[in-house]
Amino acid sequence: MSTFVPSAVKLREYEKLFFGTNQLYGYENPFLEFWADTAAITLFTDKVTYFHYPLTGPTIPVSGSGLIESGAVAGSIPYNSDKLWKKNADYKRFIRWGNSSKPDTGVWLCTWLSGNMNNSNSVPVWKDRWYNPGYIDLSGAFLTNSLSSVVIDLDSQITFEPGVWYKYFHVGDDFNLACK
Amino acid sequence: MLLNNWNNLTTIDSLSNTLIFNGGKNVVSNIYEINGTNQNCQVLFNNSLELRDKITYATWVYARDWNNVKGNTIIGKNFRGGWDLKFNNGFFNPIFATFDQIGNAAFGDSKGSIYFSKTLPGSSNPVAAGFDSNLFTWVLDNGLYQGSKHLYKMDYNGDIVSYASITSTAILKDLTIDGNGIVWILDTNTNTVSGFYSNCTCLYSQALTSSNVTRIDIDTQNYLHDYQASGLCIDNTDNAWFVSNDVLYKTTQYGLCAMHSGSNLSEVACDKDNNIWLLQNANEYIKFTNSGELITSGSTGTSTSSGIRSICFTKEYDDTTSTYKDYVWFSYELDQTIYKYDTSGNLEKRVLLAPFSLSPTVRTFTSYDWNRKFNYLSIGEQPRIDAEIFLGTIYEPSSGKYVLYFPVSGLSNNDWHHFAFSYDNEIGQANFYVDSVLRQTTSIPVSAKIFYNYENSIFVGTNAGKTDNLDEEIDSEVTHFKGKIDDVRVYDCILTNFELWNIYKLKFDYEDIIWNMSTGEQVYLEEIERFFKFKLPGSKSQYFNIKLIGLNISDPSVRLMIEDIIRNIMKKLVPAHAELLNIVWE
Repeated sequence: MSTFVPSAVKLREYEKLFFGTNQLYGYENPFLEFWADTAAITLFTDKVTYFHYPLTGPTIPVSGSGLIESGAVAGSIPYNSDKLWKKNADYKRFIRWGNSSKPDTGVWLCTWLSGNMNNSNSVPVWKDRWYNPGYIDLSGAFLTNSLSSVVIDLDSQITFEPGVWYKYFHVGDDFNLACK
Repeated sequence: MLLNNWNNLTTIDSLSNTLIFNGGKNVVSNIYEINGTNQNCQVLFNNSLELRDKITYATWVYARDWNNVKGNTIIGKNFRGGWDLKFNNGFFNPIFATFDQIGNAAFGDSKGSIYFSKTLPGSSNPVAAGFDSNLFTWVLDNGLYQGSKHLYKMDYNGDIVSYASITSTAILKDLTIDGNGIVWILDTNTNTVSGFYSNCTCLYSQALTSSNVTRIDIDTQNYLHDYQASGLCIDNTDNAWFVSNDVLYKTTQYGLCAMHSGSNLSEVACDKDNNIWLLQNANEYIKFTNSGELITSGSTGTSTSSGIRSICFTKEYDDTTSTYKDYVWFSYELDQTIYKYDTSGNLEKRVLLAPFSLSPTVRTFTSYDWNRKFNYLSIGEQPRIDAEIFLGTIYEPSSGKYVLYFPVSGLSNNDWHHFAFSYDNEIGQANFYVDSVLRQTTSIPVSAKIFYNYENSIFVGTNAGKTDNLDEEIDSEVTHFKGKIDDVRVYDCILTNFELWNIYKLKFDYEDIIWNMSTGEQVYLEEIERFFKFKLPGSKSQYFNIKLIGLNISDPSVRLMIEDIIRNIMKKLVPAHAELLNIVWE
């Protein structure tokens, strides 16, 4: 299996060459064929990146997406960590209303990467933050820690699903300095 | 190294010409690497740096071996007050001071170099000396000066900074300093001991129940021990060892034990490993285990006549091994010499005192014993990182010193670690963070202020002195830190754990995420506008191979014919900078 990963693969193996059939000199521009099951996208520091998850991709949970291993930044609260939003539009496969096991009064804030500040060696965990808009506003929900009763952080159930639009914020130096 | 303005909260402004790098080199990413000998960073004094109510400081420190860090203070404005972040191995004794019976004094550094000599005033007759944690030398003078006898408090430059006058009828004999810095003196005329504060005012006097006491010493619990003895020391488990009538005794829970007898026994001392050293005859020494088993013995010095001898220890950094080593020092009155040996019995240094007309007779000339009892043992014999702060009024350190710490056993070697400390007198709390995690917190008196004794600089990588760094003032190099320092910050406000966490994360470069998003298995066609026009990923040479897979042709002549056809085609396609190397059949 070949992969389309420029940063990780040093040599790409091509499976076929297409020079054109039954021609002495073939195409002027030949084609090379290769196989891949990933596509690399860059999530820039201090930037919000929007992307569509490929239609042909498998549905995978965010915890198994490899984002942590790729360098996602964990924090103590959503405000200072990498965050992920998913467009829950009303096309049928991705609607989340219905028999939800999530808090009935809650509003989903984002999925954020939670790290343990008391143990820098611990593996961070993706969390879904829900908040009660009757008691805390949107910006406050980003800053409130998990002990608050007006927010709740659950192990993330967000998945990457084909065709869905996502928004990702990656923490960088500028944001980190601006946190003060 | 960063000492700059950060969101208008940093009090040190690198642009205002107050920041001086005394050597060292900025290598990668402005990391300040210093050699442990003469390099440090200095932030010159200005009033805005005398933070008294609130302070937060933070820094990254790199050490090869956290158990053997060269130096003492990492960052501090700390001499006899202020605040500091320092490495504490239990021993800090950059100076020694020795006296003779007529008041000649010599001050030297830990390497054995004399940097100052002095003579005490009047008809001086020093009988005992000691050192406190602030590098003050205390001398008990049984001679008369202006009609009184004196307890002198001397600075490391030989200046008498304070003194207590004692009645001329007193017969002063001995001195010891407890863990709180109280100086205790023995008057054998009245058989009393008197305690003095560091400002030389008398705490109180107390008559001893024992009679004919000649020696006093303090144990680790600040209990005073008194004996009629020629030599006395308190070991690490607070047992007293003393010499009386040429017999060495040890006090135990079962009573008095005679441990050794000989001729002309004089001084006895305990080292950090709880071994007992005894001086006997004219020039012999014996080293015992704490249970009295002989470890080693030998002789030092050239004199074969009995004079007054004494024994002290030091623990010093050895550059050749990059570790701390123990040394034993012997002073010889008749040789007018101090001998410095390593623990293997090799002579390291001979300090000649004859040029100063000094025949050493006062037995304590290093601060080892104080450090052993009140620092080394109190830190569990394990080095640690201390964050210290001295509180008091503007004029005196009335509230004392507060120390928060983290043991170096929790620090990985050859690695960077982040240390941060905050002090808030509004809520009465001090916090110490290591690697952005709150490790220790302590309550402090609300409204207490940081006490600064001198208008000195902030130093990074060495100890502050009164006007310069301490090593410059005592002609030494023992306090210079060897390692790397980065991102030093001092704030006049309190940073929260969250903010320190952000600073901590700054050390690690944030990089864009290259995320391999799953697409499912796909076939891709790459159009080659021109062969090798674009660089492909990986190391490329001008040569390339072509693999022929699955043709099931094994006949060599057929293969050769196909290869010729391919080679002819490739000649027309391949640009000048590329060349077909092999055709591989699989």
